[in-house]
Amino acid sequence: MIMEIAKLEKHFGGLVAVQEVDLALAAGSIHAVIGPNGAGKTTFFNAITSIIPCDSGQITWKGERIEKLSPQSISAKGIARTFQNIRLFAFMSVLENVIAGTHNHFRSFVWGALTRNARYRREEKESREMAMALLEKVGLAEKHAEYARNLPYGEQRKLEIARALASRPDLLLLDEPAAGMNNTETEELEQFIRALRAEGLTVLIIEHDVKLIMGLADRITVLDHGVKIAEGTAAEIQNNEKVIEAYLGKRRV
Amino acid sequence: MFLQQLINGLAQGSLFALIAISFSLVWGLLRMVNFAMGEVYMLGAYAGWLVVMYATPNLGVALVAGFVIGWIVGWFIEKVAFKAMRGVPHIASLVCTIGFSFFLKELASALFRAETKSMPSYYSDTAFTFAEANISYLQIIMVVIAVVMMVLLQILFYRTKIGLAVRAVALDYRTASLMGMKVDRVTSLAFSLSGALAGFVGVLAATYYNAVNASMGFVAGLKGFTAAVFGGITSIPGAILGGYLLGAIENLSVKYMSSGYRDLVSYFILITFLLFRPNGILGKKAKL
Amino acid sequence: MQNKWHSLVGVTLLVGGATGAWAAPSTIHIALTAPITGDYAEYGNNFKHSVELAIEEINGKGGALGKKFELSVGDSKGDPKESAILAQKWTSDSTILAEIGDFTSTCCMASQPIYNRAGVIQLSPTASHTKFASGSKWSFSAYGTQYWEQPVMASLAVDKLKLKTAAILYINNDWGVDTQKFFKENFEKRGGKILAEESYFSGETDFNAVLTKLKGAKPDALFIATMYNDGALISKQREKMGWNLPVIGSSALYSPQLIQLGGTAVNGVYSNVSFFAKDPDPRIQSFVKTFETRYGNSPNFAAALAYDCVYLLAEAVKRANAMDRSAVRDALAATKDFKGLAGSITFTQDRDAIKSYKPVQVVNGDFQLVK
Repeated sequence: MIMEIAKLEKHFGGLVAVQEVDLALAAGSIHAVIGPNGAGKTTFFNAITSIIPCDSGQITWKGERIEKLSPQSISAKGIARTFQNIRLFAFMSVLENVIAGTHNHFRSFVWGALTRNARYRREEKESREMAMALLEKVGLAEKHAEYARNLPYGEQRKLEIARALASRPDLLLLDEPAAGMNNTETEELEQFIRALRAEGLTVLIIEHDVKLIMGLADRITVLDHGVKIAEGTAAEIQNNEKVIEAYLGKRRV
Repeated sequence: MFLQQLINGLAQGSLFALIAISFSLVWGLLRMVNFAMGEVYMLGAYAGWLVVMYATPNLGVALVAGFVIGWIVGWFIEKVAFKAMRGVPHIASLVCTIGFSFFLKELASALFRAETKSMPSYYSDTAFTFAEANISYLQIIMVVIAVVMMVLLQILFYRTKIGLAVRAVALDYRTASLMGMKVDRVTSLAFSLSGALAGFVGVLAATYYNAVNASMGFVAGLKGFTAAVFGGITSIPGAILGGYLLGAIENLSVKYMSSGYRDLVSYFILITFLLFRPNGILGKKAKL
Repeated sequence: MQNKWHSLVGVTLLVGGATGAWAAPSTIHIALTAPITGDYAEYGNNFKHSVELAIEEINGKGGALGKKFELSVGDSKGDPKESAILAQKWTSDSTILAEIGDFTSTCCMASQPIYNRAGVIQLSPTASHTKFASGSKWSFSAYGTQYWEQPVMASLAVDKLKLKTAAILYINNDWGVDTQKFFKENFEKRGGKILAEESYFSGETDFNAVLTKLKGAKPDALFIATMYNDGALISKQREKMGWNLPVIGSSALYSPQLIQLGGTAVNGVYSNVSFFAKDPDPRIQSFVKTFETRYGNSPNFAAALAYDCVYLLAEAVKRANAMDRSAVRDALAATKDFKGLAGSITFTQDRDAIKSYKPVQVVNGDFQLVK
């Protein structure tokens, strides 16, 4: 297991957003978290990446406890994410957004920028090349000079994934990556995520599009009102009474 | 005399523009105004004065001294007024910087006594005369320094990773921290840089006006802020534009109206823009 | 703050009314209001030092009416609001017989109504606005107004230096406006012509624009109604512009600081004095020497005037032969031919001092009497 989460909890005042959730993430797997609106999925992600500190519980990453670390430390450990509501650097170019993502891998900072020494120049060149390669991969290379805010919605999502990948993570957290995408784009996304797994990346994904998840995920965790109500393969989840009642059941109403 | 006033305006505008950039840096990062900026400028001027009076009569060394003192004071203000106050309402930080402004001013009067100190002249000879207008070497040097500083900052922000980090933090510090950027460090760095710039300009102004005193920062700070709001406080090009325009308008208002209206014109611009166009001439689109 | 003082004053008045009398104190308590910090700090410290010096001398000789002087000092920072707050404080203290101060006419006039209401002597060493002393029967100026001073400067310009036209640069406050007005009046009365007038506000450092404008009028001379610090700045920026012409100012330029700050740029500048530090008069020389050894700098005109004020009060107390505020006021108003360091003083009906002024000029970095 690359990540193990035990009894993770987060309250907002009296509201319990996430309650004693356990989750074990196998290395190289695609793991999905699903659930109806307000199930606490995004809060769960925010707690993992320390954007919102959790109230209690443990998160173990490659044998190391990380629930008390800052967001930048977590990022340095090899965990990257995208956001449900896209959070690109709107007034930066597409390329710059991705270069920003490479930040972790480069050491020379103030001193390097002042002296422009050999290492600094090499690193700058490397990060630029790496960023271009990633843009190539998501199909945005031609638009590298545009302001991020000028891209259409679906491409902004792709860019956010490229930026997350720029930090060369071991775990990629995707928060509703298919939201706002058309069918063709969703299919491309599915292929893309599979390709990432083939490269050895572990993916934790929140998604509303059940069809996408059922075809993609190795394992699925279902949250409802902050509580984990089921976990298993796609087939197991589809036949789980509780899930049908809480989630799929609601849809039929 | 129109040309002479325009030249005076450009020289003074260089000073305004550089202070305005200091305001832009802090605004871009924290959406905050550091009202002690004028006092950082004043302390820089004292540092430069001390150097030329007691160490070496070298203006370059004096400018570096102003830069260093400004860096240190800027760093300190960030730690007290912003970092320590994170999480409390913005207004507390704002009031704290106003407090700093008074504190630093009184500190300087206590340390150096309140009387005006005389700063020696440098490069004050007339470089050339053009249509009855005299242009001194120092005026040329000031404009050149201002332009070079602006170019350097543009390179820093748009051609280096450190600049990318500053811009990323300015745009969205939470996301930036997820990219592994050390938000505190970047903020502190940009704050110190804005202070250093103010301290540097303080030495330049002291040389131009031949005077250093504890209360010199107040008006300078206000004019720099006005220039920033005028041009567009969200961006460095805006701050520069505002600085030069304000310098020209002020000096020409003396020519066409009366010197008594000079500050009035500036503050009228400040209030008008704050009310009707808070994003300045360049507007919202321009970003740090 | 204001309200607090108001209530304090109220309480004091009540207490005063209840006891019905002003208890005879054991000392002659006077207050000094001066800009100890701020733009005019150099003058304020000159005030403070020379007042302390004078009190020490008087007390050393047994004081007045067998009572010693006691001093309270307040810092007005050159700010009219602060000056008024201090006036509230002094007037609410029933032991205080009189106040010496403030430095600028603006500050004096801001606090004048408070002294007037309370019936406390307000003796300013340096307020030279013509409407100051005449504004209240409790106000006095030991300086003499610009009304008496400017004819001397205008006569110097027209009769002696044969200048026909002038431009004026003045600080925009009560004093500056007054000085500008009386110079202009007297200059024009003698056939001179004012070609341009410009003002600036306290705290200005950039004079390039106004000087450029004034230069455009091509006057024979520049008259500057400013304090020494602005005077030095203006001179330096004028020198840099390459604009050389006779510069005339008022007595406010007469300070060693003008030369320290202005360097070669102030050479040739005209000012005038009622107190001249190099006057061979042994009384003046002993004052200058004591002052210099004790405080490390030469006394300026403000120091001499503040020193004179203490003696003016001491004499008034003796002549009144009482410690009553209004008796001392009447005695002070009757002062005739008082021999001070800064010339003799006789108060007019309006409690302004009539004095004599001697023009001086900066020659090679030093003030010299114009012969």
